[in-house]
Amino acid sequence: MAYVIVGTCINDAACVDVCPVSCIHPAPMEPGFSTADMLYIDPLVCIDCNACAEACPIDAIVREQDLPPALMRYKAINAELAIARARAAT
Amino acid sequence: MSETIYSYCQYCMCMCGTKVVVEGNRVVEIEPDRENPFSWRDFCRKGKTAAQVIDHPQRLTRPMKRVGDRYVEATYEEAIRDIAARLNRIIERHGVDAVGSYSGNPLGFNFSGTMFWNGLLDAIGTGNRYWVGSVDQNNTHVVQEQMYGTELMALIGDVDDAECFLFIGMDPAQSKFVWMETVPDGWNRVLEAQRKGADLIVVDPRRSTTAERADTHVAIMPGQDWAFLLALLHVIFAERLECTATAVPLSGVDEIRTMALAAPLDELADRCGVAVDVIRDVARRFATAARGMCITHTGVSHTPTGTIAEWLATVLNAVTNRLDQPGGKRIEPGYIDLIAIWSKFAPPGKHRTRLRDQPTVAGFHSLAELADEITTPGEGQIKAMLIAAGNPVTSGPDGAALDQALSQLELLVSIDFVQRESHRHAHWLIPGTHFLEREGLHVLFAGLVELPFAQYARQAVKPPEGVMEEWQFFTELALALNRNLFGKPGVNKIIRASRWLARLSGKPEWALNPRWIERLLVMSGKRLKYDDILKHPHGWLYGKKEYGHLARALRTPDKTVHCAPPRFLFSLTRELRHRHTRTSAAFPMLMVNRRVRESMNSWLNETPGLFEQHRNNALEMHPDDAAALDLQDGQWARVSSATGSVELPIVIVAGGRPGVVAIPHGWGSRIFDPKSGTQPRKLGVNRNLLVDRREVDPFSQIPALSAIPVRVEVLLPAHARQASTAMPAVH
Amino acid sequence: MMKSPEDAALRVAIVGAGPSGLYAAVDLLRRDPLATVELFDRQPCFGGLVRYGVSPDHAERRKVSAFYERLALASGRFRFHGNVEIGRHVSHAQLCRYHDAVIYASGLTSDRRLGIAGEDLPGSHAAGEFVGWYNGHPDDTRHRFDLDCERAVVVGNGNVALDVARMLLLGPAQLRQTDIADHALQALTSSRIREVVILGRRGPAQASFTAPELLELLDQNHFEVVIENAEAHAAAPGASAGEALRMRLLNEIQARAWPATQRRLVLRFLATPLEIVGSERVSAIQVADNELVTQADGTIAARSTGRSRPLDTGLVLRSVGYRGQALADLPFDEAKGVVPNRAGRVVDPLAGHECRGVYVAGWLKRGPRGVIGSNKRCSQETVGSLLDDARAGKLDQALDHDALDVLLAERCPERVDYRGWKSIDEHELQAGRACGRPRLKLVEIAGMLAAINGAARRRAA
Repeated sequence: MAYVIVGTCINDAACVDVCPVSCIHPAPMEPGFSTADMLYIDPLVCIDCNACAEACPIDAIVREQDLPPALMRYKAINAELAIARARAAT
Repeated sequence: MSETIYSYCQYCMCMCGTKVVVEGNRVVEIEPDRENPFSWRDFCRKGKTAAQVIDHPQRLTRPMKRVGDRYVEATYEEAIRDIAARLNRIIERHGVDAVGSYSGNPLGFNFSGTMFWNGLLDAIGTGNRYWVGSVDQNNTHVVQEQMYGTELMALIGDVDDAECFLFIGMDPAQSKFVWMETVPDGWNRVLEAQRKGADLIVVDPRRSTTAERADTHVAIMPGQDWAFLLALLHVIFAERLECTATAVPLSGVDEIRTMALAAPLDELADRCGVAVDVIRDVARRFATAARGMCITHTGVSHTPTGTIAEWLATVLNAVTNRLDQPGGKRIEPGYIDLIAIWSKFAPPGKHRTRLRDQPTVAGFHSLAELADEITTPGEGQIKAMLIAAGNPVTSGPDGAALDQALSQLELLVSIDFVQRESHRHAHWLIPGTHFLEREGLHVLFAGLVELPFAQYARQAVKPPEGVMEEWQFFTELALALNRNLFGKPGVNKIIRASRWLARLSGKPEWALNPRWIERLLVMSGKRLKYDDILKHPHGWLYGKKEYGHLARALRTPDKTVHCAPPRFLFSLTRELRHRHTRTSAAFPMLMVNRRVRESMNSWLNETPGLFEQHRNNALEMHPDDAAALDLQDGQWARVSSATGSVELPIVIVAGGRPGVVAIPHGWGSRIFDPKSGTQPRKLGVNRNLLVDRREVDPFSQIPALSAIPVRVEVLLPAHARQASTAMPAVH
Repeated sequence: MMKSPEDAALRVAIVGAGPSGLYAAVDLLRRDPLATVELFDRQPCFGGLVRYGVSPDHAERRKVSAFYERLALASGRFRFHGNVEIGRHVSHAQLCRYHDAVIYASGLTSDRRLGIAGEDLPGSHAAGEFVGWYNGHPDDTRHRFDLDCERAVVVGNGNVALDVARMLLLGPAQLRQTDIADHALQALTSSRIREVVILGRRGPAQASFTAPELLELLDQNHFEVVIENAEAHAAAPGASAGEALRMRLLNEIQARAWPATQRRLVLRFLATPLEIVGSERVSAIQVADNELVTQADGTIAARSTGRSRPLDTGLVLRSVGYRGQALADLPFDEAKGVVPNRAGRVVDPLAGHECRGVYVAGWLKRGPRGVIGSNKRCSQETVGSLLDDARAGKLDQALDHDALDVLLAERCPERVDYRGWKSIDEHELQAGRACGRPRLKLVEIAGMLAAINGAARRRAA
């Protein structure tokens, strides 16, 4: 299980600042931050600590289990972007 | 070349497995150790930023000696010689009790430090020992002693199988599922159980992060948990919802039944500020759930009736058959006989305090008494203090009084890696170490973890050049005092002989060190081999969750759980007879505490990477109260109690109980720079300045750190700005 | 005499209560535990473009303002002065006199123009005016838009174009669930527009719609979405995961079976407006068909095929970006449309030196780029420069701070403090509740001041 960033994300990156496992990308210091449509959480790294959800100023981070149906697709989108990043790194 | 060290974080009881990447003697990265079979999932920024604490700009790397109003560097040799000479002089003149001591929470996570600290105190022979338990969990020790016959029999929540959770005064969404128990990833497991249908009832005056997820949030009147719990018992007994065939034998049920039934439900409801219907509903849901648990944490222990409430919560679990049952609370036997060893490290002390004539709890006296024991003249007055990894001025009650008391000492020695608020009058500052710099096996935690689990903590980096570990310093001090470590004749001789042998043989491990004791303790448990533990760098899950151990582990003479200890019954009767409201016209509101994930009491808040959004605490207030007082977000308020006052900004927080305000603790502690003497920064305010050191729970001796009657007044911004940054008045 | 720490505390004025100004305030208050911040805004309200730019159907994004307001306030070292215009009520020189430093974060106000014939015909507007109008910006309530035609055309291929299109196409039932200004709701309720065409010069791969906005189009059932001229439809090789996702969503939009609706959105790619046609007012727009060519440097450019066709319309909204306007007393780089600066320190290009104690953040500093959160790092960089300068002794200590309050009382008696803003906020929420809307915005300053006075009277009573 993991947390999921949904489409309202405004790239504030408060979540990046508080994440204990650096699983939110692109971080402001990482390539692609300035052109990112939204940030995403790597579900394989996330430890469900809720810190990001509390820090998000607009409640755009949701526990996977709590995603409403209308936002369910963002689970796959977060995972897809994370996988692409992992691939690019190798 | 980088190296990876697997260990665990030793800030809090989560004990999260860590993967520490080190280059040279520097930490590059700290991550959760995902190969740790037990504990990594609660990992938080405290662990991630732990290396920033090692590199603290004000870190002490040499003993510092006070000369006038400055500090100068000194050698350990000089420090130990001077401290020993001064201590011996004080002891000769005033007796051993003239040497007082206080140890803080971090020392508890440093097992070698804890052992040798006790060894040093036993060497001195003082009974004036104070520790952090008296502002934390002492109520559990008292209740366990009265009900189970031993001060340390912490039962652990079996969260996965529970169908009803009744959480009182705890906020696991922030604090994780740890206190006198460690349930890794416990909060998420509670949420998962809830998703599968479990009932989550949260009792808290505040709308905490945990309360937000509750099926029912009971915004109780602070300090009245006991009345709520007694009301639940009333309903359960009246409706015959209790279990008559419990897994663990009980005694005293009839007495508590009679007492609960005699207490009028509407009056109890009125006391705790919870509607009778809600009480009935909660009682039925809890009692009729097939499996469940009631858990109480510091929100309860910090009230003046924290022991009575803890007792009633345990009775509630007992009579609904939640003890030693799946989904209830169980005992983890561990790999050593914890109860026997605990009594060794915290023997039931016979010492009583000079002024209030109080016994020890878990071997130590209450911090609430310390200031008066220092300032009140007479035989047995404390003239010297040793403070190990502690910040009692900030973490204890009425810090202004304690700060003033500490300034009067003939000798104040602190052992810590920075000079904190409580050390500002110190004559000697002795450097401390960080968990990343130490190794060892913490055998005392074996019985507090949810599953049979053992892990040897590994050293990631060496302490700064020349810095002694705490246990080494305590040993050297005992030797210099010429008083036998552990108070046992001949120990100092053995130490010297072992050192001589080590030198002769070229084998430093032959000199007495904490590993000897750890090995002996593991051996005494006859369950695991020390070397096998060492073979599991990620930690070792050496067994399975078992039930059925509690009845055998009980230390009561009749081997039953005592549900009606006479002392508690008597106190409850008195409590029921008197009806006093804590608030008054002068102090119409009640102040409570709150947990913040990134905070570890008073000793990490200034770490640069921890608080990314703000760097102070604020007064949290209900919108109704703010409207009544005509207050706005961001305005400055003076919060006053009968003891003191603090000034801080207001934030209005929706939800929770009107009439209740919260200020997070741990702020307002300065860190001094003894090397440069530059003005220290102060972040936030110390809310414990409002806590009365005289109002204590009579059993646990914990001061009322919560449910404090206060008054809130608006301040002009300019005035407040100055007041907030000025040095606290010393009087 | 030695200065006490609080005497030496940094006093900073920030101009503009939009995201950049708020981000700067919060960062400064966190990094300097003694600093005080006075935040000024021309409007009585917090938020800047968060209040007046973010689309009403994306109101959850507006929460960012309240979140950081609360963080700033929780420091206890922060004040808001709304309805105060720097350069009118208070001069730049006065601001500098009473503060150690001033950060301008007041944004950019004008739209970029298309530069084609007919652009000034009635019926042709800047999208920004339309956005300000439906969001209830006091400066934009006077605008009137022709909603009696069947088709509106939006020029530009970004998220603002999509915002505008959604507002034109969502029906009254949907719009009522948003915090759209009431006058706009009334006007749009009787709108006859059935089709909105968004024109983009290049292909779908070059469009700057973001994936969440495309997903939002895909997931709604209020209007049909048609994609035209999207031959070049696959993501380019080597495209990022984000680009690939956008292309996939565009494909899904194209492939989706739409329910029968009365309204539709056309995303027309490879189309450049040549001329806005009309005698009295806009009647059509002449649009050239483009093709894509790869330029020597590898970038994809649009090139006209020479073919063009007219598109009947009565409403043309250009959404091709914002540009800057010079601020009195600050240097301005006309070419780049920003205040010349080095890491936020304002530089006088003529004299070649930095203007002591004067800083910029946000769009004014880096141009109209990025999303709300992009301003955070931008403001943090400026705050970093400011704090470095403070440490290096490069700031002049402010004169008597209390005199600021005297000046403000004298020059702008109708200034709005934080409590005033909260009264406006409460009033709007209350009025919204009364008519089943999330919020009913006050769109005139007079109305806002009346709400504040009303709240004050109720408190006094």
